Amino acid sequence: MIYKFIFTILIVASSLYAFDKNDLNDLLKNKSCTNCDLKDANLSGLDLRGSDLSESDLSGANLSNSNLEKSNLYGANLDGANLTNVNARLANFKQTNLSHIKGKGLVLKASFLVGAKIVDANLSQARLWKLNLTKTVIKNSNFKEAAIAMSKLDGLDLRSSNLKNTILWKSSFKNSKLTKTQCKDIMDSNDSTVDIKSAKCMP
Amino acid sequence: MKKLLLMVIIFTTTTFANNIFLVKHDYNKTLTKAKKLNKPIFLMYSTTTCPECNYMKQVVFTQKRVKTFLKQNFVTAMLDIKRDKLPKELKYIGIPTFFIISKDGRELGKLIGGMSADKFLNAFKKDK
Repeated sequence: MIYKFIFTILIVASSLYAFDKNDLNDLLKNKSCTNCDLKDANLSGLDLRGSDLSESDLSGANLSNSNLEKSNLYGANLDGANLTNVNARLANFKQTNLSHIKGKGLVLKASFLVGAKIVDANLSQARLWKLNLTKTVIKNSNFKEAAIAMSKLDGLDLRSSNLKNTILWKSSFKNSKLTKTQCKDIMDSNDSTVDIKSAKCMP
Repeated sequence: MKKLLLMVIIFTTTTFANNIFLVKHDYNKTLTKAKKLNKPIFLMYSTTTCPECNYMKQVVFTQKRVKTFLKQNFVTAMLDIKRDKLPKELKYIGIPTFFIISKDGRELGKLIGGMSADKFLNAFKKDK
């Protein structure tokens, strides 16, 4: 009876941490943890500038208010992670899964996003400047009141995403697919720096 | 001819944006002005190579309603991160940062980053 009880306690205790504690310690100590298990870890408010988190599982992790400037998140899985008010200037998100992220106020300036996946993500009020998003998968994401400025969105199908009141200054949408409403909103904004001449405005 | 026209447009845009700032690169002079005019300070901390800062200068601060609002309510000033020291009591995490400061130098509020004119005005109307 007592063994069963102890066994149950051990199972419950170990399941409280979805992530690998050694991996978390590695990251906190060395600012580097590649191919690590940091699922659901609490990394909120940390200074992780220049850290290497490539190929790591950060799904569901809380990174809100952390500093990831110049960090390497190549191939990392951030599905469902909380990136609220994170500074990720000049960070590498090549082939990173950014689906379902909570990214309100996220700052991505001149970050590298080739092959990144942004599906069902909340990026309202995010600051996305100087990005090349042409080889990024963007679907059903919320960019309301965000800025996607000085960026290339050429060839993307953005019809399922919310671009309401988004600053699109000096961005280009060459051969992108937009809804007629999105096209109208962009034209009504009277911002002549937005290149939507060759965008396809579809019903 | 096209080059000349482009230069005129750039010069005009820059001049309009710069006109909004009553004091540049001199925080002490800004405080003196604020006391004299009995107005709080609107201070932009930025630099010339920052895209978000340039968006604010070229798009938001050139709008008449924004200019009028700022001129009526604040002593407007700008400091450049590359050449001016920010007073110790003012904290920032990135540029552009827009501080609202009392005439005796206390920070009353701040906004960070580029934003639309509507958002800018709404936020400052709330914070003022």
